[in-house]
Amino acid sequence: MSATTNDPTTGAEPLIQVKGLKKHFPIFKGLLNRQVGAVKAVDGLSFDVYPNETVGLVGESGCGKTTAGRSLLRLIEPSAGEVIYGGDDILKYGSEDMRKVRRNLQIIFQDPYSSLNPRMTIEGIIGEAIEFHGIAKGTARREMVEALLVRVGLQPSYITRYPHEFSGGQRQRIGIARALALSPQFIVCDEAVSALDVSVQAQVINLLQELQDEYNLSYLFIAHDLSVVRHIADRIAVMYLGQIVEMTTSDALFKDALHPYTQALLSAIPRPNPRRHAKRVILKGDVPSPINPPTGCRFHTRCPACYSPCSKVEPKAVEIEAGHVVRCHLYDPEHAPKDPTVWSKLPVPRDASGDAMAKPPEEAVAAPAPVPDVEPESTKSSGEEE
Amino acid sequence: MSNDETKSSEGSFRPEYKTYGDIVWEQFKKYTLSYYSMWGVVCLFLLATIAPMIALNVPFYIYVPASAVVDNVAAGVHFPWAASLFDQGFFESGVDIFFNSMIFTAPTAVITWFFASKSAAKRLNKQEMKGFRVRYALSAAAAIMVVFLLFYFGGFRQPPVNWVQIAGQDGVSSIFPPVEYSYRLTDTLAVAKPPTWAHLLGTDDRGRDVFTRMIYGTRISLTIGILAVAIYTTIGMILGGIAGFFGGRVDALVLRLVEVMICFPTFFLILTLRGFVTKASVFHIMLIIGLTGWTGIARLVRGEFLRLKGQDFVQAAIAMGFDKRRIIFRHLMPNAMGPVLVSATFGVAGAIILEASLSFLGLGPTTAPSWGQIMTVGRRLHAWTLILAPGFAIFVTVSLLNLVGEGFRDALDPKLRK
Repeated sequence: MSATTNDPTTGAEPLIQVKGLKKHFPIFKGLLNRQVGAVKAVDGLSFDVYPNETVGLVGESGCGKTTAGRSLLRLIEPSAGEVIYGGDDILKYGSEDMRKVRRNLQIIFQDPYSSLNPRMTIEGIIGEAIEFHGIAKGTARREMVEALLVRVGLQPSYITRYPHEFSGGQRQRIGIARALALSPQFIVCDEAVSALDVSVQAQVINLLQELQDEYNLSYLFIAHDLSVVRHIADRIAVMYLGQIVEMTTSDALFKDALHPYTQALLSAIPRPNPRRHAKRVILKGDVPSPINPPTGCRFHTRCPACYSPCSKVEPKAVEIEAGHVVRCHLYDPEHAPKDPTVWSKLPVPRDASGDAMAKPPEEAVAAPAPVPDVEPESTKSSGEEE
Repeated sequence: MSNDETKSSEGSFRPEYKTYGDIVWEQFKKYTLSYYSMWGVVCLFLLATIAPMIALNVPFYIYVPASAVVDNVAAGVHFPWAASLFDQGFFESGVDIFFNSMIFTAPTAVITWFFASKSAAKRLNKQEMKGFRVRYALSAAAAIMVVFLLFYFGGFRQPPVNWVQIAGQDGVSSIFPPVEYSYRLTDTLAVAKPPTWAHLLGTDDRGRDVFTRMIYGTRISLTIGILAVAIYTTIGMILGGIAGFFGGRVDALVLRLVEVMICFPTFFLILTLRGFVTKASVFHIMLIIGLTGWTGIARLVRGEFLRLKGQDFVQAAIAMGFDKRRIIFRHLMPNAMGPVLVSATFGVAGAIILEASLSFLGLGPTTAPSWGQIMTVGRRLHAWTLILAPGFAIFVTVSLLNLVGEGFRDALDPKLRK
């Protein structure tokens, strides 16, 4: 994505800009422990997160979502890239500066059972950071912790208890209270609701949304459940093998997904309507190994609409409308397919001669792209049923 | 929001407040054998502490009439027993001074607890009581240590007096401990005697009472066992913690060090180190055992650290911006302690056996009455009581400790962790 574009809806400066984030886990082998390769878990991720915005990050298991979320907080040290927060690249910070900036960037974990220290009371877990960063001590700290517990819907009397006395949903609320304790601006929700059952999931998501409005938070919401992401996210980035293949507003994605992978992914959402026989696209094969990703387009081995340049040239990210980025040769005017039948092979077939073919080059030329007519805020309420 | 979740705290079905330690303790109590073994170990400690009450050649009370005055003892009533406990001319080792001071400090701590807990129970609730208990135990331990150090560095000495001889004179009334010998009192007229009523387990090659030496030997064995393990657990935790936390080169370095250490058979390493010390005291022996035994703990702690480092709560601690010290000591260490404690309990038994073997080879503490030393005298004198008695004592102590360790291990089993 472009470096300094403002939020198309609010015109605000981005809170966090991620540019070309990479995390390669080296593989060592042999007698001399030589590096023989790398698992390219995250391979050049770029996106912005604006204030008070939720960016959803979706993809199959193993596509690098979690690694992306953790490496942009430097819980895993990224191999390359930039994460710009407050005008500085936090990846260049020394450990002391980094510890200071961490106050503003928090994380909520997937597993509510391993994310709380089993040897500490709830007061200790939530209040430790408050005391460490010199915000409050003693009674003041206790009151802050109690207030946070109330805010996340728990009893203030819980402060003396230990994590094992709570259910999964309650623990996740404690995890949220802990993340809120330092009043951060940005929270990575790393599959924050995936381990919870559906009714608790809905409660926690609603809580997260309330907190977002209250504390003006930005979320990077990592999930594999598309309906959850649709409910909470303003914009969604779809990841495949360490790269973002499509990123746009949540509404646009569900209405008009362009990338064949996104289309296949969307067709897999179960629909609660027995009479509607939607066509399910079944992708052939497995996700290729991130150690040795396919040349050219990473999706070409499974893509139903694969054509000549796909296996050779790596596709560029193309901005089709303002804020709608696709990494696919089909939409790149440079590689536009000569054979129009390719379009019909897409999971959601497009008219060969119609708008799909004609539109992309047009849009690319037209400089001030039309603002999407749907306000991102309203998307939250649109996906109520789940 | 979630009514079903919050309700449980208001009603009467609020679960009882339990710490992790409570769960482990509850589970431990279910292993009856281990539980009673633990009380057996407590009894051993008690025996070690009250040893001078059982065997000492100094009377609790003595009345010396004017007719029986001998050189430096004045006429009148004396209470020499209490004073002799801190006489460093007599009890030269710090181990003895420590246990002797415990005769006074431990009951004081217990009595104070009785009153303190009663008054505390009135104003504190159940869970604050737990904190109070921990604070009390820590401060009591600190107070006991301070008293011991005062006595030890006070360097109190008094002129030697042969109280047994004075008590034998006419007109002298006295109360002695049941066994009127000290573990260092030699009697050239009673060398290598078989068991009699005077010497319950006979005497050794210098005419010292073996029963007395056995009782005082409990102190040596328990002290060496516990302190040696404390030393190597500390070293192991530091090195293993460093290796596990920092990983990479540091980890490789520590692991190679561990591998070099375990290349040598531990016992021969100990023998080698022992060669550098000419006149070994109890502390030299425990230091030697401590310096060679840390490899297992180091690997254990390293493994635990590696496992815990990947857990989300440690990641959360990093995300909170905590410094390394806090992450290590508040988040990693407490969670890695379980298996270390189990291993340490078994280690105490192992260290006791090591000390006994060293003493058996004549390489133990030179002046201390250790079980292994008694055994080696028994071998030389072909006296079966001198071999069976310490052998049985070692067997009982080591079995009890192993049973406790086993109970501990089962109680800490991750299956019961929720």
